[in-house]
Amino acid sequence: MSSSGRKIILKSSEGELFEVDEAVALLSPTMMEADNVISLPKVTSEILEKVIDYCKKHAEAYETDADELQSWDLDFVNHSDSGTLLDLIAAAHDLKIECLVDLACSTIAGHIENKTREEIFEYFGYN
Amino acid sequence: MFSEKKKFIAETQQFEEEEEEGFNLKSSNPLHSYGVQPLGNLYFNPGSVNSRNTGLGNLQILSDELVLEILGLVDGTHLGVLATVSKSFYVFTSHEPLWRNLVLDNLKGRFLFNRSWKVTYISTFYPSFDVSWNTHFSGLRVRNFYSDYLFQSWLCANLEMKPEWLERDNIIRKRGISVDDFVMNFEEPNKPVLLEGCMDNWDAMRKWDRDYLVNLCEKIPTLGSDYEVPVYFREDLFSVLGNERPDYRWIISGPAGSGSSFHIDPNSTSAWNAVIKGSKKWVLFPPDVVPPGVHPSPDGAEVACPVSIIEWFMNFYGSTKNWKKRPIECICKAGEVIFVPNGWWHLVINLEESIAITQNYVSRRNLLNVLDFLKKPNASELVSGTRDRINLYEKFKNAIERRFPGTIDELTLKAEEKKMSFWDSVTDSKIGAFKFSF
Repeated sequence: MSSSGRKIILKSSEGELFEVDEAVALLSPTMMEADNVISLPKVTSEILEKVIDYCKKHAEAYETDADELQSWDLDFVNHSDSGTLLDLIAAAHDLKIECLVDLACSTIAGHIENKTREEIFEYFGYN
Repeated sequence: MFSEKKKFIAETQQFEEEEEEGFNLKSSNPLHSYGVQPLGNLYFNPGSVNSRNTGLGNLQILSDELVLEILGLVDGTHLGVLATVSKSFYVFTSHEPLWRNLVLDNLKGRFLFNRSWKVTYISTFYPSFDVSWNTHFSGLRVRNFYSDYLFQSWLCANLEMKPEWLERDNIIRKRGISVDDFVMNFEEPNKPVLLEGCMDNWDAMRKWDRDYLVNLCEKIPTLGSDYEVPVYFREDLFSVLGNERPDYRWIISGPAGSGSSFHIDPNSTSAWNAVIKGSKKWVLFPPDVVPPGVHPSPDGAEVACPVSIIEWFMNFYGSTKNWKKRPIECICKAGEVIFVPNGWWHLVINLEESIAITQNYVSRRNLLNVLDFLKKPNASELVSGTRDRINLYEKFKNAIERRFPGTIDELTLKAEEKKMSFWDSVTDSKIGAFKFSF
């Protein structure tokens, strides 16, 4: 993928800067509308990195076959615990990345449907 | 055991009545609030912890809308399981729109509404479950639960129109005026008017009620003879298109509280709305005055009125009191017809169960406006009610030319003359300040 075109810069809650190609930022209207650095005080570097990974993979979507993309998505969410998924939803919501919000929300809903009451207690981390 | 339950019920109800003062709540069939309070109350209770958060576990970082988005993907049975996890989940999973969607998605019309969407779902899918004991006791009340979204949602579903929102009635009312009178004083200057006495001969006034219309499909061929278009609105230029004309007439029926938030009618047409049963509150703003709380997109394709009708009254109506550009308002009762000039913003709310018939139309007074509208480059998005959006302009223009040759040119000339004389009067220093009035 060509790296011409502008770069969008995102800043995590830890102050770390991430540079994103415009082609990757297309998934996020928030990123596309930005003039300057986008500060995300509620998003950690770890989560921001994951969001960017998601965007990078989906920016190449036209080159990827639908089944492969779907299994990549499944993989992406299955390697995340509930806390991470919730952080992803919050970050994706702020960046207006609808497809990631949908993906993560469906995953959580699916987890809920698989659990007993006691398992749900554990899942949402009650003390 | 039963008397204990009765005592608890009585105390709960009394508590509820005390809390709910200050709001005009529905007296019939109110939905349980579950004790949800607006977020502002938390700030008046320093030291109080929001049970909304503690009860959601690590889900608490998400906004109410996002929590509900997740819950919207969960099936009915598991919403029930979630309800037992914490008070917070109990409140969230009781959110009526969740159950409405489950009913509509799963039953597709094959259901009988039973007190609430949740009860409807449960009694349909679990018919052996006894919902009757819920008649007096429709929910638990939780303490220290603060949420603006859920409170507002409950409030809007249960509010009635406040009397002060219904007081202003400043529309002009006319009875038995001539068509020329109507055209000169209202249609030409594009001003709304309420017309009385146009519906006295309509069979619809005696025949139309909810039962009659419920079997609508069988009756459609005869419905047209139950009413007639008031004499003022008989010039109907879209009729030149025959069956290819855009949709133009509707029977509108709904309970108290239903209606339509702010919008402008499609295709730049004018409209009339006749109330057959019930009554409607109308609020109208002229074309150049955007109502408070409404945000049309620059190209006019999207009208975002993000608030529901009741929310608009709660949050924005008050500000119109001190505005120079006050809206035209009225209550239109059974037997009355309102004329909605083209381009005017309007909001309508049924004050009781109502049945009305409405038609949109084009006459020579707004023909040029309509042609301009259809000509616009984004016509395919804006034009509504027809399958053939893109060609409508050409078709309509040509059909008018065939039926009424020279009319378009004549009207264009007149409009030019009017524009020129207007500017003459403006620049003539002898005339001084002019006023727009509507």
